Amino acid sequence: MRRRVAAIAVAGVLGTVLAAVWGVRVLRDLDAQIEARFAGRMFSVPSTVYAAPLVLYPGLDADRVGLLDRLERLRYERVRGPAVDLGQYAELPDGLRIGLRPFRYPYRNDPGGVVDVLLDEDRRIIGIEDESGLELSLEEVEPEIIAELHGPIRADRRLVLLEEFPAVLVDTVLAVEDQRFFDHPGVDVRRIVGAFLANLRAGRIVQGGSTLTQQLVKNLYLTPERTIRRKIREAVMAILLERRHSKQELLEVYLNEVYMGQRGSVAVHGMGEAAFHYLARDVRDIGLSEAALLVGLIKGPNLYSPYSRPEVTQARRDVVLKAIRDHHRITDEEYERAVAVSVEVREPSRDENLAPYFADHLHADLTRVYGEDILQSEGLAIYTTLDVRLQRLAERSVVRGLERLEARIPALRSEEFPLQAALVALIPRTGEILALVGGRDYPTGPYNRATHARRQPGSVFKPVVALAALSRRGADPPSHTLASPLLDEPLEVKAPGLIWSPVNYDGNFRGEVTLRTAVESSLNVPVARLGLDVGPERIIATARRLGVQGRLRPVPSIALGVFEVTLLEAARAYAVLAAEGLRPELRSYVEVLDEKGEILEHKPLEFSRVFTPEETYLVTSILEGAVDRGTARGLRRMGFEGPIAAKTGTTSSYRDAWFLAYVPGLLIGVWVGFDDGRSIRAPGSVAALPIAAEFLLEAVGPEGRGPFVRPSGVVEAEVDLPTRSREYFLAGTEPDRERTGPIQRLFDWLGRRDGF
Amino acid sequence: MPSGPRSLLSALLLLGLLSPGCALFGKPPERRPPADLWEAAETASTAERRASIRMAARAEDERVRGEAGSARTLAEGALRLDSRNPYAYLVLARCQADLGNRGAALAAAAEAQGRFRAEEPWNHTWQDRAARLTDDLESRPARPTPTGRGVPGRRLDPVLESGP
Repeated sequence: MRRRVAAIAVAGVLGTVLAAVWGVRVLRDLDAQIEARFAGRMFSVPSTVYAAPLVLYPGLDADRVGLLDRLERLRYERVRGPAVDLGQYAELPDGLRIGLRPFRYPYRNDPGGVVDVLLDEDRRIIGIEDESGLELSLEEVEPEIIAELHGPIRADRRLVLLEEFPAVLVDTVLAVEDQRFFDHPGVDVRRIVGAFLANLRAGRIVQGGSTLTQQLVKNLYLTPERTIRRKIREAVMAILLERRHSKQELLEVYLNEVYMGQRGSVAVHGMGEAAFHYLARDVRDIGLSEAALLVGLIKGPNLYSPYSRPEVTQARRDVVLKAIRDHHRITDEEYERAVAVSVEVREPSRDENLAPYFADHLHADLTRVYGEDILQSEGLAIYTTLDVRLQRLAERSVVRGLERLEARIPALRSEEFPLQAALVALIPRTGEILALVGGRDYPTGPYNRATHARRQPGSVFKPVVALAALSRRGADPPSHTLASPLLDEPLEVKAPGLIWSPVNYDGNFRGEVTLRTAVESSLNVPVARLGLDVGPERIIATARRLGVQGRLRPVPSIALGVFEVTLLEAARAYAVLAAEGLRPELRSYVEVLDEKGEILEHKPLEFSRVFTPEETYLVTSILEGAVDRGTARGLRRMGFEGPIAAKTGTTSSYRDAWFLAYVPGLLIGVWVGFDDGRSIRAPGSVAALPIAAEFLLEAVGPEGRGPFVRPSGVVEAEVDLPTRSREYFLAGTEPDRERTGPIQRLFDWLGRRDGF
Repeated sequence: MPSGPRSLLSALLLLGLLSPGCALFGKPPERRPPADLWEAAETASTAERRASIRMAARAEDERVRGEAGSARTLAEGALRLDSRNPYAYLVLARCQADLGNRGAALAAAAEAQGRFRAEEPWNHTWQDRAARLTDDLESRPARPTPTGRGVPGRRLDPVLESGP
């Protein structure tokens, strides 16, 4: 008997020791698990991509830039006024009153504020004033979010410091979720017992016993299964967590982590994101009623979602308000006021498909610098060059243009391999990409034709040949002028194994034409002759100076664009013409900030002068002529009246249709075609021009943006040509003794041939 | 008649022809270069140019305060509003110089000069400022341009200073 007792005692001690050892081991593992998460990065915060802000200034056409649409897209609440809060706007008799939200720009934290934007009867801004009546020369409306770069765990979160959360929100969370948060060690035994009894009485689960810390443990570390084992583990981990971290730290993590619903496939985490998602408000600015609404969602964000059953949301909010009143956190008066406020949530307007091709292009740029992991998890803020209004306009123009073309030529309709188009708009001198469309429909085809599809440029390359001919050759004058004659007669170029015999689009020959006419009218034969005169090597050198990077073979057909480029490359080449000889480095973003707001990268404006303004002006003059007299005159028929330079392009068998055009300060390029190279049965003037025209008419108006200014180094001289009597020349290359006016003739007589 | 006396004769003849005209109509009004960027904005011919110069003026204020990075961003923003604005190019050049980006500063200064010549040929004051900046930059030895935020270089005197 004694022996049995001793054996049992030994077994007991042994068992206890083993259990203790095992327990310590388990505790150590749990502790390590907890600390691994807290020591590293707590949360994966996706990077946010912003469009360019809208700058308001006197003289700006508020309707043309879509100011009201922008405020709506930014989820500014329209109110009757005259008083507005931040995040609201009101239409007043003489303009708009806008409560601009705070926003963190790259180099400054704008606190926001109320401004009056005064408008005339044409809806042009005539003044901007702040609340005190001080006149402002400029004001910015914060940029829209165009994308978030998520990782495999698609979650949105706006990190907020504990001290930034409104006290009313923190109090409400604690009152409803964990009243004794600051007193318990991670587990609240009283709460557990109370919940047990309540659930027993009700015969079902009506009350939870978990503390905030336990909820945090469950969300961060454990599965949501409801088992005894999991609950024990949760309790132990909560205690360990509390031993390692302060209450403030844990509360902050909780408020940034708590699951608050879904936005499509993306989970909404944290009160900061929830305030933006449901209320279009910064969480720092919310009041009691809104705080109660958000806290009410914690128990079941999808169950109580205001987007499915707003009456349930309101009822739940009122329950929360009652609870905090009953716990004396608010007065009866505060309760009555809050309950009287009806629940108003804002539909999330963040369009995940806003500028998807642009976002992809940007993503590729950024990934090269930062890597996928950082982009997806470190909450970078990326400030881009995108103009949302122009982007939407571009997308609309592409879709409508293709539909119109298919209506005109029904044989182009194809379900399986639809007709495609791409569009790029940029600021020539700065290289900023304002809009980018890579295809007709991103969801069905994210292939970015603007940046990846290499197609033959055809006739849109002719201005490059002209530039090669019209620009100086080092210290030597150019080989040609705009008035240089070119033969438009049958041409055969013999090469080993083949004979190249270009023809004009209409099959006709015109005898002799000027260089200007050859390019304005897009005549293949005289331009081919020009290319032979200039030489393929010089043409290639010119193209390289314009930034063309693809493979260029020094063959005669290069003059007619028989090689491949992307639309973006072609646009950049034309940007040099539009920028009067400056070649910009293209930019899709300007600044990257880390989540603390520190500048990680500034992508600077870079440009180099590759041609003189005089040389490029001559080509611009040709392209203006193409609109007034040549193959781009469809622009005039469609209503564009102002100065504009443009070139159509069509490749053999109508495989590609191109249109590139520019006004001062804006360039647009359009390509239309099938991915498999089938004929689109229409030239550039029919397929691509109308898309560009629609875009331009709305982007800059029919009057355009003013004239192209002739540089002083370009002179106008009399010429004796069938098509015109005056022509532009680089100074010093104009024909001899062809002068304007009697004064020059007087000087000639007096022996001063070079003028006064 | 030899060409020398012929030229003198032509000059005298022209002077004789023009003098009555000048007496009749008087001297054409001189255009006074703006004293500073804010004044330049007031006399700008388009709303975009005015806004662009004002943003450039803000950039210059930042630069003078020692915030070359934010000044550069503002100057680039000014060019986004009006990409031909010579004042914005000049301020950008100064920002780039302050940041130690000599090549970029030279390119912007050259563009400022070109734009002033093209758009305001009467504005010798500001053309000279751009030219002086170019000379100053060219006199400095070239050094490797740091990436990212750049290293602040010697800060130049404000554009607003008067004098030759």
